[in-house]
Amino acid sequence: MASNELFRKTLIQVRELLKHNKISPEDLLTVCQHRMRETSALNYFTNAVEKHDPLINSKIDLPLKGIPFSVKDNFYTEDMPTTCASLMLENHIPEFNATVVEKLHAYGGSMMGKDNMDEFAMGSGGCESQFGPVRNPWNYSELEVEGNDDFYVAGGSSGGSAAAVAAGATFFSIGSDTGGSVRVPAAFCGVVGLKPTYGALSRHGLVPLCNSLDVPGIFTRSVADSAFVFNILKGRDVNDPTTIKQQIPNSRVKPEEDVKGMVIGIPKEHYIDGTHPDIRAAWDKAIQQFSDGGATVIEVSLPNQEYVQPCYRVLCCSDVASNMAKFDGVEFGHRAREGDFTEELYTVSRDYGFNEKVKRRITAGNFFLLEENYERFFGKALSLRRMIRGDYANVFGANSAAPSSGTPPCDVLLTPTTSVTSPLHSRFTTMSDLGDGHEEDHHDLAGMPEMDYHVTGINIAGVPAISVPVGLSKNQYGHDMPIGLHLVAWEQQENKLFRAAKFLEQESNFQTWAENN
Amino acid sequence: MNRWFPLIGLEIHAQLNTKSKLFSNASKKFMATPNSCVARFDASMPGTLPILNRKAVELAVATSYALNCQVALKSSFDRKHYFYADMPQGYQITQQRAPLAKHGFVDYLSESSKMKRVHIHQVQLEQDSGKSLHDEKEGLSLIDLNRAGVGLVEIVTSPDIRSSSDACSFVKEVMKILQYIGSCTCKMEEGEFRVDANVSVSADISVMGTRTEIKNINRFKGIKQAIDYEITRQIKILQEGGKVVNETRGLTNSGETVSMREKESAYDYRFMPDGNLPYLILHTNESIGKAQHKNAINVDEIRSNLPTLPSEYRRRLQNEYPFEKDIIDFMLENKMAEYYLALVAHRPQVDRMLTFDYIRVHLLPYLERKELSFDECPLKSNDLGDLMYMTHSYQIDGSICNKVYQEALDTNKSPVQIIKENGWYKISDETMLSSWLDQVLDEVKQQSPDLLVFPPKRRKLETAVKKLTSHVIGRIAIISDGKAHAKLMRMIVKKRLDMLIDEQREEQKSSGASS
Repeated sequence: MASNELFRKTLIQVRELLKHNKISPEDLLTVCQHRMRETSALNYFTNAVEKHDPLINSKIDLPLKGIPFSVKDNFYTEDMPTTCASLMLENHIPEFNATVVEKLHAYGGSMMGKDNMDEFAMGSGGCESQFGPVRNPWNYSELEVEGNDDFYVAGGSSGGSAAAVAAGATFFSIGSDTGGSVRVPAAFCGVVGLKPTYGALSRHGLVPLCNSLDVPGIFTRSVADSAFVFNILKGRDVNDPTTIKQQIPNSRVKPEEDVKGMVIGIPKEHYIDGTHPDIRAAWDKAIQQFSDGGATVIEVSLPNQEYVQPCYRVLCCSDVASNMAKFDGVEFGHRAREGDFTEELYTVSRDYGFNEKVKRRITAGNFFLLEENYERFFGKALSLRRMIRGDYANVFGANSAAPSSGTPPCDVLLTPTTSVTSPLHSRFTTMSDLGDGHEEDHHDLAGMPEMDYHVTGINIAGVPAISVPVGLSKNQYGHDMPIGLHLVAWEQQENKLFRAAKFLEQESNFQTWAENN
Repeated sequence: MNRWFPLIGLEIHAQLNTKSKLFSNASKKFMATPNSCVARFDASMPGTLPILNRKAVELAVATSYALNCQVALKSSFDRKHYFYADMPQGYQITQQRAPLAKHGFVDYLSESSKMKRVHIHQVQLEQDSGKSLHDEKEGLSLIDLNRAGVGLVEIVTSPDIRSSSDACSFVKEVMKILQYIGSCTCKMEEGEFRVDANVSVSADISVMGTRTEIKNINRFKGIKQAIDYEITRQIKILQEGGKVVNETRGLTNSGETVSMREKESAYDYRFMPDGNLPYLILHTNESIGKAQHKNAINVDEIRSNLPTLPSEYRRRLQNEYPFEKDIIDFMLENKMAEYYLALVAHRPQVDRMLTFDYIRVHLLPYLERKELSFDECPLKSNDLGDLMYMTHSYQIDGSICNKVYQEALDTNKSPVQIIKENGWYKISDETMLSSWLDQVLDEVKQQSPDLLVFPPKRRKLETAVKKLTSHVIGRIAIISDGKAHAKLMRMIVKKRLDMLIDEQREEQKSSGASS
């Protein structure tokens, strides 16, 4: 195989080639750098790495030796800007690496760049960045040929991470998932997106959005790659008191997986109006495939699903209000001209440094936390959170207190990742503006159900989920866009997730964008 | 004229005596170079997470038990939001909704020696803030984060205190408790111990008046000043028909309180649980086996290992001897009770006051100079007890006592050994001493009887007695080979000579009468 086509391969495949000295780390680096130049219009990096780690030439055999990767720009990288795609941190260069970055370096990985994202990880399109929007590689050149300056959105907030892997610029990337920020862009860009169990991966060095929901996520072009990177990154970190204390078993993905004996739950609340018929059909097809493969498919119920969005908005905005308080221009963040009073310095710095969306969430969060509002909003959200988590515990048979419902406990749940495929940027901006003037505020706080209905409850429950690309949907412009299906397991049962995901992958035989472009 | 009833509640902030901060491994040093003790977390570097200091929790649990509180096996941390330049996170981590401990009390001795009780509402762990320094000349504000994130226990009392002097006695007792268990060194001059006082007055003892809060009292005298000033100020306002405003006040250097801000317009702190900190779960003897990690803290163990508290020492000292309150306070403040009680237990015959004085005058300054505690004292309580006993029972001369004491400190030899080696034992048997005196007086009678004639005039008599005494003592020293206990001998000689003088006077009187 021509080495200039290495970017079409998966991480596991190039690792084999490296191991047998068929290729060298330098080959990989060259191919990916070339690929980066070719696809630079997609705007998936905020900053690219110029100098590469000498470790790639070391003799030691490291699991990720010479494998190019990228990291979302809200993970701390030593001596490299970490901007969160915000003016607030435009010149911010950390002096240490986030734990996940440190691990990837230690295992020999080769960092290519920092992934573009929605400012401070707030957004679902990958469009709200001070570096400009991320563009989805799917049909990008087709639109260009048609003389259209429109493009498909990569999804958010980890849009750059998804696009970089989809484009073949890196073999895997690290994003962060608070309410679907890994799985939505993975579905839109046709790659595998893993959101691990809360606490399975360290958050140390991840600029927080919502502390109790954030988890680093993994983008890859195959399920086996996802499990491989997950095994490397998981585990207790002394710098993060919320990481899981017990040892998490390694996940192994066989070359061929079967699902005999597995119980697949289909939550009935996830059949919703507005789901694209192709996505509905892909879901039905997968159900059939699981059934044919020897799994038991049952309908289950997550009765509190309707409260997921309100609960998420209150928890998330409140944490945003609190976490963003440190960006006051004194110790941290953009500092405006010296104000005459400290209060003035805060106001001017924060007004300049944050975008509208961030400001709206800060304002909403502070409102929820007012003493007179706390019980009505935050207190309620905490109760809802327990109820939503309880739903998942019930269907996975993890609630020892609950009476047996007669249905067997599920191993995994299966739903679509999103109800629509990636919209055009022009369409996405009207979707989020909705054209109703001040409704914009309302809409941001209510979320975008087409995108986050299926995915956000998983963060609230703290359980792992994975989005797997299974097929394409032809939209009204005649463009094929990828469809992602969403698998969910109980906490620390990523191994079940990978087994079902691998099965889905082999049944659907999906081709990533990089494989054909 | 109305009588006014003041009511006082206190909030005490005590820095925990740990090597590092509450949530970071930065060290905690007073007067270190500005910003030299700052971990990334203390500077609120985004993405850094709080790691709870185990030692701080242990000390706070010990403090809670020492204050007779109920310790919660599950407590949690909250964020208290406000923008302040020396608080880099934009919030303080504290324990508002589920504090570490509640419902305690402290018994203390008031100035009038009455036992009184203050209830402890709650005890919570929290972060200290940094410090802002304002350079007026340059128009600069400088920030020192060395103190930011240092662990504090906040002790909140119920409003049980009725006077400034009681407040001071109570605070002194709390300081002693914290010092005894080692949770805080309580040096107010170094900012380790700070007090907020909530003060109100009311004409009706059963009704609480509008209160003001005097924040951040950082010198001991300030407690009394602030409360007294505030009581007087509030009474004056009420007498003139005015209303006390619920507000936060500060204490000036001259001991007056000044308004800082009104509570009505005060900040809403928007408390919320800190999502980065898991519940603080503590264990008991029963549950410790099930704890998931080796760092689990067993509160039963902490409680059973609590050192003896000052109140217990006070009780034992009072049983020992009717000391005055001041002396007991002195012993407790200087942490000498344990040593003292061990000494008198070893040698119950020693003179209580003389022994206390000896420790106060000699040993305490020595330990202070060497920066040693009584525990670390090279002269063990038993040894000093032996020395005191031998001195008080005239087995050695008083002048020798200091010599032995000094040598014992210098050489690590026991006083008994030193006295033995130097042959400093004295004879204190009164029969023996008296027989030597008899012998010498017989000598005098025969060899120079004029010495035994006592002139009637006072001045002449004194001279004669002095001369005779020194002659007698000198002779006894020779006869006894220096073994007679000097002080005791002198007393016996004096008694005998007084008797002789009296006898002579009687004889002169009766012979004068008969002639």
